[in-house]
Amino acid sequence: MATTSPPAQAPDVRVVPDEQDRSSSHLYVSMGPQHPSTHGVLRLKARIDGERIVDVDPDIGYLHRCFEKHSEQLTYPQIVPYTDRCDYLAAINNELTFALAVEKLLGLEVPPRAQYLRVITMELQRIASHLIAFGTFAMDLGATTAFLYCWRERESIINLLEEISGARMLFHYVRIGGVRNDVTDDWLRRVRAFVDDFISDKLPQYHRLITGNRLFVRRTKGIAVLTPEDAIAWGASGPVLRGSGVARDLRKVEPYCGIEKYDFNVPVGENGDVFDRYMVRMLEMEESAKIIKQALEGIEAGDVMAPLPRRWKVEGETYVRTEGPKGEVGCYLVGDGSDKPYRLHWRAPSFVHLQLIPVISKGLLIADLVAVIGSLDPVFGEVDR
Amino acid sequence: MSLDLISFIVLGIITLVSGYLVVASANLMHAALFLGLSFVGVAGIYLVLGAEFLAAAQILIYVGAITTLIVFGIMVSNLQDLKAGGRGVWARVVRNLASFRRGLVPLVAAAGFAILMLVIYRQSLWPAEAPPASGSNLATVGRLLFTEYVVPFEIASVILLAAVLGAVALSRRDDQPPAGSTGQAAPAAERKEGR
Amino acid sequence: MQLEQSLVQWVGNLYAAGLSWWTSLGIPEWVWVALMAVLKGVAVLTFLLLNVLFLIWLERKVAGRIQRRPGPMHHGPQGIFQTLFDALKLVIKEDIIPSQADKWVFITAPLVMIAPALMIWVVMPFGPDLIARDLNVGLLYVSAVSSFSILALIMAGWSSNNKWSTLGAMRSAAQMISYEIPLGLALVAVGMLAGTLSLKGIVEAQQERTWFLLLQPLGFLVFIVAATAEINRAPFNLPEAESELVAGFNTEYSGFRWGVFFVAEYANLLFMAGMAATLFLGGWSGPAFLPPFLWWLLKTYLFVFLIMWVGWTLPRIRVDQLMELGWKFLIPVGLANIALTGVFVILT
Repeated sequence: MATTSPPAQAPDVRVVPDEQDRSSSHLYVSMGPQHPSTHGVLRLKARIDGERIVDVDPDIGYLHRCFEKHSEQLTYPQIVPYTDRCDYLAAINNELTFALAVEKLLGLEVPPRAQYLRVITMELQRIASHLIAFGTFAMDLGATTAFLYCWRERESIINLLEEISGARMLFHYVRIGGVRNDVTDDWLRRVRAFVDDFISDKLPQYHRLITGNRLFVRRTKGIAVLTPEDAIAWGASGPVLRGSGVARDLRKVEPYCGIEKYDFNVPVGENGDVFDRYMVRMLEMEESAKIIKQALEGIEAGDVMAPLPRRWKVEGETYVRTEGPKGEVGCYLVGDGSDKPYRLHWRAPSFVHLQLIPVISKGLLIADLVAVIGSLDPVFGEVDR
Repeated sequence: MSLDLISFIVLGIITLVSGYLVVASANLMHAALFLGLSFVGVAGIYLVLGAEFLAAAQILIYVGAITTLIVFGIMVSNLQDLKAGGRGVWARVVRNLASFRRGLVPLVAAAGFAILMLVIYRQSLWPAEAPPASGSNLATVGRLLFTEYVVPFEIASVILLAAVLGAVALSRRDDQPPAGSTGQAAPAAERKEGR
Repeated sequence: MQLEQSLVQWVGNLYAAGLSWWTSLGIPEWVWVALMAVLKGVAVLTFLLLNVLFLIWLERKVAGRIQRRPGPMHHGPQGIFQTLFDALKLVIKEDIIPSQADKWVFITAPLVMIAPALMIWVVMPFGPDLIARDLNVGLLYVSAVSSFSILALIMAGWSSNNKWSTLGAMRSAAQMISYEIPLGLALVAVGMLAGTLSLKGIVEAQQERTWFLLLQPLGFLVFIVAATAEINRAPFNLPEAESELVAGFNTEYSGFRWGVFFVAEYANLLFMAGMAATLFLGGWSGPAFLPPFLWWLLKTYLFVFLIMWVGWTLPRIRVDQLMELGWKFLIPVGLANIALTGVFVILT
């Protein structure tokens, strides 16, 4: 847990006006929403001096689809696939968060085999999500090749998950009360083979290609430093928080799915710069692989689905959070005793992290701004919901 | 009529017309670009006259460096001011010629200068024709620069060095706090202008 | 070797015969000379454009192999005709000029870009007799003509009236001015060693001694880095850094005009590779089992591949680091190399 306390007052962040101020020598540029490296539909309003950023202000909302309000019209099982579409690069983690919240209100006990499968799929998904974060980040820095290498491994993961869920992106595999399908021993063996290969061959490849590259290091070290105090004050979580040196991982703090039984480390960065955030993700992939291996050894036979109530009567209020690949994925759920939630609020880590852009990117170059976005790894499905 | 003469006439027309348009263009950017074109025309004339070294140096320095610098300077200045004059070129030419200050005076001055040049050329003892190409005029230029004209050559280089240093010193912005965590003294844009 | 020489001889005879026939018709000689010059230009142009078509295909194939994918595969064996169809597509696309653009500058910029990219080939020696014109100021001509492209980029960026284009143009101007200097310094050292600025003379000097790569390792280093930056190839592709500046100076260009920029870029790539081969690897010279032209082509494509390989592996350098590399490393090294070369020339 963090020992540092938040600062007395939040840093001053001004809102950048929408048009060019003729009296100033600064240039106003609108980066996005159709820009190659804003990871979706982010628009950054920036005032620049030469190529140096004076002020930057993220503008969101281009992908809003009323997820939270829509959920109030759906029954609980119907909501699950919609949660997939929040962080669409880490669907399993979203489903899991929602399922855990409903299970908590219902008091459902999930069978042990389902717990293991949840851990395996969730960590596979974490690797897949970090792969994309790494690949797009490298591409933002101009190293296009790494991107396609990441795609290769992500493809393997997707193939594995497709086999058990039938979908390639929005899996809808973790359900309320367990998981959708049981898996075969052969599938488990192939997961094992993938993980072994990933750790021994593929991950070192990435490090050889990118991490040790001097151009890469010079472009990422010391750039956009996020102090631990700022990180906490702005509500950062996940790799962004840990990159700043705060060792907080919800899998350790508030374990779920029996993750407390596993042996894994929480990698943290030292300086809180772009490089540290990148490195934390790279190291986390290793830890995820470690967790998957342990789960594959411990997995036991049994049911994968708890018996569900015939009539859904969900009552009460809860907030459940899990450690998604991007950070803390939270689900605040209020049930009024019917089969539809009274209110659902989704806490999206990307949304929180976007606020950091003005904080850490003042005085940087445009090229760095791109690196900053890449290192925060936002996904706009969950920013705008 | 020979190829050389035709080339000379064509290049001359290009040079003169673009030279006029430098003055006549309302758009500063266009003026600078026409300036570049007239430099190219002059370089072409050098080439026709067999002065290859001079032609290459002309393009390298006047087009590659000077025009680029001017254009660059225009580009980083406020774009709004440059779009002021939107009237057609010819309308302005007529208007200018009709006015005394902008029409007659420059014309008289130009005519006087032309007459002066003609007189000088007619009376001078300079060889009227280019000396026969002596194999490599590059070697000749090099030899002259390092023997007969070595002192002016070196003085010129020292002056240029001083100018470069002065430009760097002038364009440094010390009042700005070091931006970002990279500890740069000045943004890259300023630094390249300073050279 | 034999074949090529006899071919050149045959062309020479044809030329003389044609000239005498022409003058017998009573038309002045200069018309014939001008016609032949145009023909020569067309020949070089055809060679160049064919190469560019091939290069674009090669780039995509090399990139594909590096990124473990096949690259273009339809349209002909191994997708060899892909660029041809791409070019056709570009030609028939709608011609868009932004309404707020400075129309004439916008239209001229691609021409100013492509003209030097083609003009520069005048001095490239493809073989002992295969050279359009062996200028005795060859190296100077190269650096002079290549300085045009800065102007073209600025024109394109400025006239588009787009902030990203302008930023790209500013970057490119800064980059190309900065890297022209080390490039020039590397060329000077080569000229000193060869005792001539004629490219043909430089190749012959290398035949007498040895490849300048061995005599000029520092100069070669400076040259290849500066040349990569000069032609805006990755990791120095800042003027068109797609992840930062959308598409840099050519953001607003599309269709045929964009294609012209593209062709110029590849023509420059080929030229710089050809220069590297000519200045440092002995150009056309090589054992007699291959004709000189093929030797030149082979060495050139070696460098083309090298530049592509580097480009598809490394991340992009940042704009201030680019300036630092140019001014704080390449220029001092280039100057030191000139001093060393001077000592070397005096001693030997």
